Amino acid sequence: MQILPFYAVCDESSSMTLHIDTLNKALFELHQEISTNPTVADKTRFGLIGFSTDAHELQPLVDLSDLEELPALEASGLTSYGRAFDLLRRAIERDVTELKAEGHDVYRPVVFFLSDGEPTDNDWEQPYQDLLAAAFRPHIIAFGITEGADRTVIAQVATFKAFMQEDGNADVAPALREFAASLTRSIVRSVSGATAAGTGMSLQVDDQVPGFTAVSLDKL
Amino acid sequence: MNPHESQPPGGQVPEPGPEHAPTRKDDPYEVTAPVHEDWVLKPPDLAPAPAPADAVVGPVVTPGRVTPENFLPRPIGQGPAAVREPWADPVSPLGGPVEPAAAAPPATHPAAPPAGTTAPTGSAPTGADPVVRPPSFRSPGPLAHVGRKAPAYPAEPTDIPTVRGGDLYGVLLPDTVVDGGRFGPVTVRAASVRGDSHRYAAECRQDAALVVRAGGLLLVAVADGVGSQPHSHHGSNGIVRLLAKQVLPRADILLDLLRTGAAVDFADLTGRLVAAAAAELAQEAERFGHPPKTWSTTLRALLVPADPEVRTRGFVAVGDGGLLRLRAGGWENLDADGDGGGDGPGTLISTRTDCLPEAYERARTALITDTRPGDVLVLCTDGLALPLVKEPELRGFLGGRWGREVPGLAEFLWQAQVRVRSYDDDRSVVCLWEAPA
Repeated sequence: MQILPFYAVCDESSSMTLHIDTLNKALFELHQEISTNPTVADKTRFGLIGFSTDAHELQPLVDLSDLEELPALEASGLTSYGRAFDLLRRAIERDVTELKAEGHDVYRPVVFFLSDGEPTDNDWEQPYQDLLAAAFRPHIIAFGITEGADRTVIAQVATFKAFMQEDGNADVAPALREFAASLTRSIVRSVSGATAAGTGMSLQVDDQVPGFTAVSLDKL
Repeated sequence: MNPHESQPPGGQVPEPGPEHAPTRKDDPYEVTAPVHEDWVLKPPDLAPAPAPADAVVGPVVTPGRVTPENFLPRPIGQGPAAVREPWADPVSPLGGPVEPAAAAPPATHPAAPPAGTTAPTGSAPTGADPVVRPPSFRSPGPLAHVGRKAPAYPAEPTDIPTVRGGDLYGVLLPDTVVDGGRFGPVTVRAASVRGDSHRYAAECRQDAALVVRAGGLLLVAVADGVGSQPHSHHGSNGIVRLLAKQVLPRADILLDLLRTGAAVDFADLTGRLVAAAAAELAQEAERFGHPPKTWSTTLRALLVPADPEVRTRGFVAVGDGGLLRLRAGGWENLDADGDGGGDGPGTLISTRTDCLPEAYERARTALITDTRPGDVLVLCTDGLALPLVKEPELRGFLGGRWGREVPGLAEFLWQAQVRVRSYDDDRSVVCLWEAPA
């Protein structure tokens, strides 16, 4: 099979307490979308990582059509980006290696990173750089949750797109759902130029995400 | 039991049981043929003849063994009882008795019959027709799938595409085309089918396929419009037409090059023909007001002489796709550079491909000089090439059918549409059956 590993990395620190229900609802709908949209369902495997003082694989990479329900996030503790990126790097390396050993072809992994952009560790950039230096480095789409989320940090984490929630009460679910579908379609489409000029970012997805404002990565 | 009787509504083929989906570490269909740098292909070691992997279509029916489930009523005076194929209809849709199926003949592919003769439908093959005619009322049934799970998509098209952005050309492209014929020593079957992803999005087919005679040459071609470009269906259909335009007036020269095995001259000439076709494609795009890049497409073609004494076949390609050969039940990959998969421990899938009219350096060409009677050449876009190269069960499924006999058009279409989860791209394939010795 051709498989796209898809990870949601969610901030469940205590500063997210007011928004954790919104995130859980969004994950539920993302699960619905991934498992019912055949374009996404047939190609993706989904994993969920939650992080606060430490990071945990709440759901190891799985075929969502084999899964009844995703585990829920629970807010508490600090916000350790370093632990999150370190765990993500190890999970991706292990998962892609296993998938390839099983005979599958694997697309570059995709990460949805959802946070209020307030890491409490000061040394998270090294684990982040290690993640981006890995052979299976993922595309990261960062979502700033809450109105007061730190735009600079969210844009810094993203490798492809970054979005800020316009209203702290806005529904996150439609954004994740639509983005998952359009991103999958874009990733699996063939693009021109294997040996000729024209390399570079080839993903084409809409910058209009309901309830969110796109953040330019170029300015940073 | 007829497998179709047990299928749920909606045309889904039931999941295979564990015994029907063996995990094979020792892959008898492993593609082992080397691809030589000079692209003059040498015969590889033959793989052993595999048993067809029929499991997902229904229960195993042992050929020749008559059981209550596969025994057909035998009208008096019509020969021996037949063993039903697993996918044959048990009763006539009209309610009458079912005609006995013709006993499966050995692969038959004699020389063309005299003009004007045809084999009667439903009769046993007379030796004059390479196509094994299905008995009356036999139908292929719902699409089969290989692998543990069927694709999540509906098996058949649902939403009908509308005119998008004033694209009245796209509406001329049907979901599926099927073609075929006979030419000199080969029998041709071709199909181009819209992929599940384009069907689901109600977008038009971006693949194209072409079968045309050019004097003493047969030209077959497939093209895959690049998915990220908005007008690539213009490109795929345009490039096969424009390649034909280039080949037609030069068929005699190309035939001579094949006859003499002039690989360098063949590469030079076909390279220039592809370049000329690409240049004209770019001009057409501009006349439409489209940037040529938005018509990006792959292209791969075979040239086959009508003269049965000339066994060399010419191959030319730009971009990804497949050229495989089925010989004595074993598969060989004759274009290992074309599959575009993510092989190797540290590599991921690359969706980048060379394409016409602009994003390529040169066309790849090869002379296939070791053709043998009974070979089947399979030319395809990556919608089929990727699963064929990666999925042993698919090679088993198609090898067991295409290696046996030349199917009729409808049967070929059904076979070419076998579903494999996660492979949802348009699929185009041209098969050439070489006449047996």
